[in-house]
Amino acid sequence: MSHKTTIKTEIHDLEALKRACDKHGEVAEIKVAEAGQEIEARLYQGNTKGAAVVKFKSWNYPVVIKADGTAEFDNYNGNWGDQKHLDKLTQLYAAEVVVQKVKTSGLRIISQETTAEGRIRIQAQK
Amino acid sequence: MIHTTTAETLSIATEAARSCGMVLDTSGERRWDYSPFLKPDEADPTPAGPQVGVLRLPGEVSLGFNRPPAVVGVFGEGPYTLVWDDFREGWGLTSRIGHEGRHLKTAIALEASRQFAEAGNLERKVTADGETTKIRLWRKGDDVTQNPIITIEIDEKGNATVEVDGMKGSGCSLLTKDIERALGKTTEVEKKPEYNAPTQQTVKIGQG
Repeated sequence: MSHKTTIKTEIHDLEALKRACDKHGEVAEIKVAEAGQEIEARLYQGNTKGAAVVKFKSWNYPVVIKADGTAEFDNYNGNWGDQKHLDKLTQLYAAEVVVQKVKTSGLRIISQETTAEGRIRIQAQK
Repeated sequence: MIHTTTAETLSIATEAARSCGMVLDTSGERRWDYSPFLKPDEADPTPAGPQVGVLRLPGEVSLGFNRPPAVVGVFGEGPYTLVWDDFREGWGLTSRIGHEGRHLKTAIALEASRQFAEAGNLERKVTADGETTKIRLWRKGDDVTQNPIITIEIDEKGNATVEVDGMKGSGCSLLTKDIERALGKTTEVEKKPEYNAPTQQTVKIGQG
């Protein structure tokens, strides 16, 4: 191994987000704004805007994906929505992005698995 | 090019089983049933295609042999997965097997890989760092550094690590930069000694 990079995932690819939502059993609805537009959503502390809005079935308020790739939400330390649902969505999104990018980078996926610890491991090669 | 028939693959599997005191079940073609180990929203990771043998092991663990030349998986409880990909497509494989009291499974994987290497006239290298054992097989004469493997691991919170294995020099950064940029913000970069190694060596003649 010649290098190892650690990355904080940001959500910018809204098509990949849609695909991740389809694979996530807890997503009730996803709305994606038109290019250059934003969608308004109501959180506990008031209205906010973002590039996409995701509503989990068991959450009181939606998750708003901001233009900078971060997520804004009110889940009251887990009382209004299980944080694991959002974490899982971020994980599925990252996997979608990786698979898509591998294909467009002239690489091929040689293995994809979910480890016993719950991590998704993807291996690619030219 | 490496080709083995179904019969040859089964023969290798049988020998691997025998060396470990196990019995190979070849009672019919089937797909390995991975469902007991899947989470509710997790897709079945086993490759498509008929499975030609299943090596039953103690403790809900099986070693599955798929279509020839070989697609093999060790499945069951624990932080290990061993998958051989199709030898015809690439130079080899990388496998990771967890330890933590699972020496039997590691031993089986080592034995099976030894058998496959011998039968397929492959080079084999085993390395262990105390946590995982890596088994690499490649065709004799191939330069494994020419075909690096990129491993992307995404944790339960969705954050990722990207590693490159089998490549010298800073060129590995070019290989992964698109994936890293698409994922988000890089928070840490760990460069290994190989990173600064030249991709081509210069040999001086006539000195000393």
